[in-house]
Amino acid sequence: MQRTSTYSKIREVLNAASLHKGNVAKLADSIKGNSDAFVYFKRDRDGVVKEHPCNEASIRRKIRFCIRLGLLDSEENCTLTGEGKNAQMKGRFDLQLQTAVNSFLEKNAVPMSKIESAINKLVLPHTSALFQYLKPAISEDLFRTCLFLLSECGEEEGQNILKSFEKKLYLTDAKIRRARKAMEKSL
Amino acid sequence: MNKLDISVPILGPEDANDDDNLSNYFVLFGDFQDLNKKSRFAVVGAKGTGKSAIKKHLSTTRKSSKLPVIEFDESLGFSLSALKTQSPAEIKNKMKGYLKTIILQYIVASSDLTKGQKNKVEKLLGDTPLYQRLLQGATIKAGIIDYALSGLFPKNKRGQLARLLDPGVNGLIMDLLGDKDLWVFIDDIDTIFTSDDNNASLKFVEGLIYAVSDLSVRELKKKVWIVLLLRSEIYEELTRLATEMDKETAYFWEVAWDDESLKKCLSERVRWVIGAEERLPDWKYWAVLFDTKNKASTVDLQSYLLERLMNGPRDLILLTELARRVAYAGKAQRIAIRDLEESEYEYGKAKLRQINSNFQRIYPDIDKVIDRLFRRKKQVYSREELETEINKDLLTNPTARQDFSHLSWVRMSTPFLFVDILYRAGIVGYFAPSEHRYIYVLQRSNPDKTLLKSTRYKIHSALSAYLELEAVQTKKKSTAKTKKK
Repeated sequence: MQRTSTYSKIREVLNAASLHKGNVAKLADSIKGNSDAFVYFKRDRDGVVKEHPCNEASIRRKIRFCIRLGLLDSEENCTLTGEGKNAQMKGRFDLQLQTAVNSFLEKNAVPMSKIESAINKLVLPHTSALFQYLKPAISEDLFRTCLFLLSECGEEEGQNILKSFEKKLYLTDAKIRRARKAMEKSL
Repeated sequence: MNKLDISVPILGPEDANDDDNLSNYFVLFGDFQDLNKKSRFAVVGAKGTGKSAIKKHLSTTRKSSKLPVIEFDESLGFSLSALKTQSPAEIKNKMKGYLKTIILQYIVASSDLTKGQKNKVEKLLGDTPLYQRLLQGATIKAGIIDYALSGLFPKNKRGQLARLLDPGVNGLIMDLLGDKDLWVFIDDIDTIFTSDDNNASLKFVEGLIYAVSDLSVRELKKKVWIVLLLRSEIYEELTRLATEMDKETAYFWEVAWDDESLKKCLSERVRWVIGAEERLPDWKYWAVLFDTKNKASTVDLQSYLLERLMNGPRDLILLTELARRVAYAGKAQRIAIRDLEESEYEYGKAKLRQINSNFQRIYPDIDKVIDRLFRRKKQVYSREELETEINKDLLTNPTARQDFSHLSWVRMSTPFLFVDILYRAGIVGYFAPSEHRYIYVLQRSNPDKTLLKSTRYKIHSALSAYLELEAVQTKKKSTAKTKKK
């Protein structure tokens, strides 16, 4: 997992929030410059690629996403919710994040059952195709992030809900089974 | 009043199909009258809610009045692969053709057609292979199936199908029926029309519903009323996956039972067994079977027993039968409440197994999940507490997730969705303040949409003994205070 991925950033936001009391701005301030995840890489004039800290606005965006996921309380009080605390427990981060994303999608009228049937229906179920087909009440970027998290969370234990193919296509177990069957038939 | 002999089963078989005496004690309930008036064509309910009893009662009543009725069974079934399509639209057309074939065969075989009617049949279908089969009459049921498989479903026989879909055939059917109407019952769809592929079965049921709706409501103007009896778990899958299904749901009866109908269900059976002519209040018949002293204690026992029913009449028969065996083994004359209590563990175990078998298609191993989640825990939760419990002990618990890693329905669930699944499976109910009681899927097929986080949920009492749930705390303190006042 890339240390600058959304997955890693959320992990760092929760780590920081577990030691924090205050609003979004204060939490962002405490993260800025002290994080391995909130950094970007830029080639300087001397040609050397160097690591720079992300600005506060991009940190605040990720904190707000954690609030929308129900892992942090609110803009004014960026402390961990029950679910956020649960995510901090040993071995639970991936599963809690997965459940939080799943619930977030459900609240935005795209429950997994709809995503699953769209994946099974579309020939090439990449993010844009899924977005156009499902028309969720969230931006395409946010939708992309959610699908990414669902494919990453629990991947090591085979507990991830979506399986990404070349990081662009999303598949379900059912779709993979059907594709295998079709291949076997054609052989 | 006569006494009951409790050495033998009293309330009849659990399965209505095996019950030849059903019409003697059938209880009208729910939307039955709407079904009878042809305002419903699909009856949806879990196993044991009385679907087959509804079919059997209507069918027996019609047969005894010499009114036309067709009951689909395995002899009219086929493998879904024979349809050569999985498109609901194509399934709809092919099934319309097939149903019309069966209807025509039934009418031609069972009535004495006039010469004019025979001429009409010949004029419309005389040059088709179907006509020859129709002439063979009712004895050749297999011939009709053979015709459907070879003459109606293959892609190169579209002409045959088109002939049957012609509106003229609708007119012919209505004309042949004269002033009578024909009822067709299709129960146990998945054992009549078989397939190994769940997805194919689901698409078939979807297509079949569209076909039945078109034929019964629009094309045959209710002269032929085709009734589908659907298991609720299939319906649940359909509503999730079939986009056009909402247009048909006005014709669906989602079976639900109220306490009064259930009480009547038992009292009618007892009344019939003891041969009582007179119609006494329900509790008096209950007191013949159960060891109670007066009306108040009978009402208490009724509440106790009804609180433990998840699916309706079949549970009533099952629990009473288990308690009867205990009572008889103890040489009692009637069933006491302690006999019911003693039967509860076995009953709860049977119920959880039944839930698992009912929901095996969509929520496999739900019994193991429930056992893991609730054993030796509380029986009553607030919605928030219940969702937290589900989140912590199942969805984000690494060991539980590992143990249930093969269950995609668990992996894809959320706490909110899981509560909904628990409700639909009959495992939990919610407290309705206006009614001062817990409502389960048996009483209301769809839960109230305005449920709050503080709404109380209760695990069904049918499972409390088997899952060793912590007993609900009664408000003894407040009662004591009231007494002091």
